[in-house]
Amino acid sequence: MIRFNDITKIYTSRTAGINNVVALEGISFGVDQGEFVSVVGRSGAGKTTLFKLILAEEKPTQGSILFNDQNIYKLGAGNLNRLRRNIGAVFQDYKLLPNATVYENIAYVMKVIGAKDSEIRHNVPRILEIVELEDRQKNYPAELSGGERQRAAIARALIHRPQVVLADEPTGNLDPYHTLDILKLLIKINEMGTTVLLATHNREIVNKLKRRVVTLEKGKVIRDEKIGRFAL
Amino acid sequence: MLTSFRRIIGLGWQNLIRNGGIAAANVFIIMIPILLTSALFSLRAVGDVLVDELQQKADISIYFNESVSEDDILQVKDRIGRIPGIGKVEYVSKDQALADFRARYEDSSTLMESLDEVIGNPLPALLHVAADAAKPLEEATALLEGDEYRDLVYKINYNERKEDIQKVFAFTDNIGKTGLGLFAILASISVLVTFNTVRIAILSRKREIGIQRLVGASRWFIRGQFLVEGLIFGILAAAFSFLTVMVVSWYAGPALAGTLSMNMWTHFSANFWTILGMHFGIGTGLGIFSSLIAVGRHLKV
Repeated sequence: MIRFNDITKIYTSRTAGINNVVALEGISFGVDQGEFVSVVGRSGAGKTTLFKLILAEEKPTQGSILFNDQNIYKLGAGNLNRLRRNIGAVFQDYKLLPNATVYENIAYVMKVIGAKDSEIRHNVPRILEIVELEDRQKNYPAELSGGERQRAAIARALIHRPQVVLADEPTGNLDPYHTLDILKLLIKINEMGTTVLLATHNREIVNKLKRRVVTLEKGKVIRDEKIGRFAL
Repeated sequence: MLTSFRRIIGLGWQNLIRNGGIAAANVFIIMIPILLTSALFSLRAVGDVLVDELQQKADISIYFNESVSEDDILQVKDRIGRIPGIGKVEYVSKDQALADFRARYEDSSTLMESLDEVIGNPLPALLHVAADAAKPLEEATALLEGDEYRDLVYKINYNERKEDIQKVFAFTDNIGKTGLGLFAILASISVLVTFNTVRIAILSRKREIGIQRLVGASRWFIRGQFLVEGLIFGILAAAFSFLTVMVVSWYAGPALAGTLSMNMWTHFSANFWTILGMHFGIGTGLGIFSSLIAVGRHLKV
């Protein structure tokens, strides 16, 4: 479903004398439909860059990523939009629309994919209930705690039942109670057929999951285990 | 399609309301070029009146010999009137010239007494010739000083007024050119200021645009929201500036009528639709254009 072919990403410094940063180097692996893959590694290992490349937010310096056998960097604007609508992304910095309420942030994705108003009215409250934000739906992101923003971002990523969920540190700001709930939610949607890529440095989560683990270090894949454990 | 259109309008309106401060700043900034253009439109009308008045004063008088008949003078009037650039040609008969003279100098007893002592009417019949430039007057003078009309003409005051006439026309010509140049400069500056204000306002929402792109919104879905906002900014700016011009013309028009040689309220009423169209055209045009250009560069996510 997703195939990374010899991906290298180098961030070029604009300042003379400052070295370029190699974020990813020669990454090659594939993710099948319905898989649950944890991408683990220390901060700066390249997890977030990998996710940015899947969303075509960044372009690789070298290599390609195939999504359903299509090179995502050769997609036209319309197909790129469709690709992104097939991906539910939970960003480390949430990326919630600041001038929209929690409800509107989640409904926005439904509007983008062209869902009917009745579907929006039906689905948004349901997902809000699942992430326990029903009483915060009229609040703006700035009025929420870090954990609440995280849950709003997760709700937005899942609302349109995407083919793939990219979750970049989705439990980073959550307490153990909510962490477990979100984890259960990710497992549940994975069991329903959604492919999940989870970037985390939470050892406990990875060990509990008992799913495939891809370990990154300094931009390279150093381990890829079918049922892995967090080992750095 | 219709649903998307409705949603774009709804989101555009929602963004505008939620960014009230920025929206108010944008509306205010768009009002500047509208008001500037409107002011220059009115000033042009005032300028035209003043130029016309000045040009009327830069006329020449052709005095005819005593023996020349009225028919001959009217033939000359007709011939001069056919010279391109010649405006009004007014015939003043001997009797009219005397009546005008008496009216003008009625307070001067010495002049009146002297006039009474003269037998008959000493004043010649004449033609007042006005033009929109110095050249036609020069042509008219040359024609009358030529063989065909030399015997009819007693005196033409062109040569003694030549310098003043040329100065007046050079001045009125420069007013037009300077006004146009000034308008071009001020309009360019105000459009640039407007564009940059809208650009900065949209720059503050760069992250928001990026987020929308990453969740799969098409460029037109996002652009459309800003287009709606820009359109509303333009409509509001046009409405406020139109009201401002209307109120100012209403209050200040009659009071300034003497100074400006025209009543601004009369000018406003006579050009109501032109001014309305100009305000809304510039307002919506600038609002939409600035928004579209400014948002475009952030859509490349």
